[in-house]
This record gives sequence, structure tokens and C-alpha cells, in this order.
Amino acid sequence: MALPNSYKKKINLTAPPQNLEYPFMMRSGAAEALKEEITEKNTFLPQGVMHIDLDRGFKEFITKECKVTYNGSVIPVVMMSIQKWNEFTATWQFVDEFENIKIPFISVIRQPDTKPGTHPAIYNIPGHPTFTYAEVPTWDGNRKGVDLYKIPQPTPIDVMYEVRIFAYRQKELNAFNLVMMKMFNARQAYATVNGNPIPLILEEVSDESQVEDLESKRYYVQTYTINLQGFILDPEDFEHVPAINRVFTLIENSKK
Amino acid sequence: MERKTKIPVTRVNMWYDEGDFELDMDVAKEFLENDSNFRVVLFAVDRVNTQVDDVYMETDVHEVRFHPPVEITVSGLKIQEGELKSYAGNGTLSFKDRGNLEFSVLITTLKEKGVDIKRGDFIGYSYSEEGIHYWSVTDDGRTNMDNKHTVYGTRPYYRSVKCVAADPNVFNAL
Repeated sequence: MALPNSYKKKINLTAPPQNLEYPFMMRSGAAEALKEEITEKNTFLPQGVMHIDLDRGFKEFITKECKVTYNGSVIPVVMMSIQKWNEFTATWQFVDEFENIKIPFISVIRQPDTKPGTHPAIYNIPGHPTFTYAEVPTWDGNRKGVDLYKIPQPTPIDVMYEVRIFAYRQKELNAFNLVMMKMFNARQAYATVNGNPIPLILEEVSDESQVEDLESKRYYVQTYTINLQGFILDPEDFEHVPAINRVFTLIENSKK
Repeated sequence: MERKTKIPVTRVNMWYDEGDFELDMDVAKEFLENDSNFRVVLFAVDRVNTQVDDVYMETDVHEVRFHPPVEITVSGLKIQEGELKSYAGNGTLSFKDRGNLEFSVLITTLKEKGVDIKRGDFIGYSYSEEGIHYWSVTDDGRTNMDNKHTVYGTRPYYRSVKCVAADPNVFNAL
């Protein structure tokens, strides 16, 4: 049955952009972008990048980007520090009755010594200068001005990770090797750390398999040494400084 | 995971059955609790309620949660002599830590107390009247089906626990 002509046939379900706080800025794309910039991040400054952020990004890279499934099960990835009691916290899902972690699994170990970085440059500009990251217009009702948000030059660091797969079967090794070879077939891959793509270089693949001693447990171990060419950006070094201000002055003249 | 159904142990049943085993355990427990009376305090880490970070799975010393400490009777307690070492490569900044702690504990004792010793738990032992000192469990002796830990090869009855000295910055019960 046809609808009467008076019926609206197309209904726009997308609400038009509104700016209830500042009606005069309504439908202004720049104003919306400025508002989103504030409400999304709560700051005009970028997120800092510290050592733990790099480690978290690398762990997520191995866990998500290099995920290996064998016989329908995902091979677990374990990364931890030297505290003994937390082994159970990290591995309780895949331990046996003696609380020994079950093979296969992948371990990630960060070499504790982080070295001065080689990417994108070896040295920074001396004196720790800061540079303008964002110029944000301000208006306090009387004065129109600009605030400067400044950040230092990031400090490059190289972090080496050893990713080991422990397996009883060659097929499990092959499955992980396939993922890693495809991932690094263009020399480098990228981990995402606080929104920043950080290059990873596969430096070396080596074998530490425990297969020669016939009177002990035999299993394969393959090590992938990966260099994370990251940077450190300490939020403590960020600066927020006022720049220029323009005062709107009215002069009233009277003629006698 | 523990089986819901038990497999009966019938080895050397003609000479040593479950009743004999329980009698021996009672005698051993009587000796350990009343004669030798070596006691340690188990501080079991609450691995569920302790908050750890998402990357390293570690936490600070004051943020570790523990189950209530439990005093357990042990046997064969040994404290090895500490070794003189140096933090710096040139022999300076020397230190001599407490030696490793080793002891054995009856499985029945753990069951009666309703506790378990896991790798990473902390053991307190008062070797003098001055105070209590702490060690961290490195080997909880859970894998104990070897001949030494069984009675005539019938069933395991004790666990050998090995610990290393715990720094106050790692564990402090006070």
C-alpha cells in the first residue's frame, strides 16, 4: 500500500552537530575539532612515553600481532619480572598440577639495559630545549591570546627483547616462525605505543633447543632477538606557557 | 587438578597398609611437635587480591596481600652459611646475606593447617630471640614422588622446601 504524500519518507537519523555551550560557534568544524581535542584527550599535549609503555606496547605486539594458534589453542605469551610469587599470577591458566608452566608457551624477556637509541638520530640537540607542539587560542572575556604547549625532543633509546618459543613439536616452531617471518619480511614491523608507531627490527634468530641430553626432558627453544627503536618522552618535561595577548581597548571621544 | 575419584594404593599392602601409614604419620607428628619443635611461619601471598601491574606483573612491598600467617612444624631445618659478595665489580660495596633456608614439612601438617606452600611465598623463622627473619620459597617441594619422599615407595609423606633470604625491601611482615 502506498503511503500518503504527507508522510515523510526519509528520516535523517544523524543529529546535526550542535554546540550548546557556545551557540555562536555552532556548525563550525574548527570549533568542533577544538572541542574534541579537549574532551577526548583532556589536554593539548601528547601522551608521554616511558619504559613501561614501550614494554606494554611490545607485549601487545607479540600477544596480538604475532598470535600463534596450534591445534585450536592460542600459545600463551608470558612476560614478567624477577619477583617469584608473581609467576603464578602470570601463568596460573596454563600450569600443571605441580604448578610448572606447560609447554608450548612463548616468553618475552626485556634485556634490562636499555641503550642510547639509533633511530631517528643518535644525538639530540644539546641543552634540552622545548619546541612548540600546539598553539591554542585563548579568550578570557577581555583579552584574546595564544597559549603555547611545548615538548622536548624525544630521547631515542634501543630496547632489546628476547622472544622465546618453547615447544615439543617442530610444527609449533614452524607456526610461530611463519608468523615472525611474514611479520618482518620488510625488515621492520611496528608496535603501537600510546598511539605512536615504534619500529621493530628482527636482529637475530637462534636455537637453544634442549634435545641433546637423552636422559632429560627434550624440547625445542627458539629465540628471536628484536630491537625496539623507541623513544622516551617524559611528561614532566612538558611546558605550558602563555604567548601573545591582544587587549581590546575602546576609546570614547566626545565632541563639544 | 585434583581427581574426584581416588586410585587406591595397594603397593606392599600385605605389610604396610593405610593404617600403618597413618600410625607412622601420627608418631612423626608427635615427635616433631613435642620433641624437636622447630617452627616456621608461613606468609602465603594472596595471589588473587594482590594488585599487580599489567606489564611486569610486579608490585611494591607494601602492596602485597597475604593470607593470615600460619605457624607450621617442620623438620631438618638448615640455614646455610652466608656468602661474602660484592655489589661492585672492584670488590667494594661488600655484603654478606643470610644463607639459604631448607626444611621438610609433613603433608599431613599442611593438610591439618589447611595451607599450601607455593613458590614465592615467604617463610619467617626466628633463629634468635631478637626477632624474626624472612626467606622466599624457591622450591616448594611439590614434586615429591621420588623414593626419598615416600614410605617404602607407597605414597609421598613430606615435602622438602628450599628458600633464599628475602630482603626487607621485598618482604616485610611488620
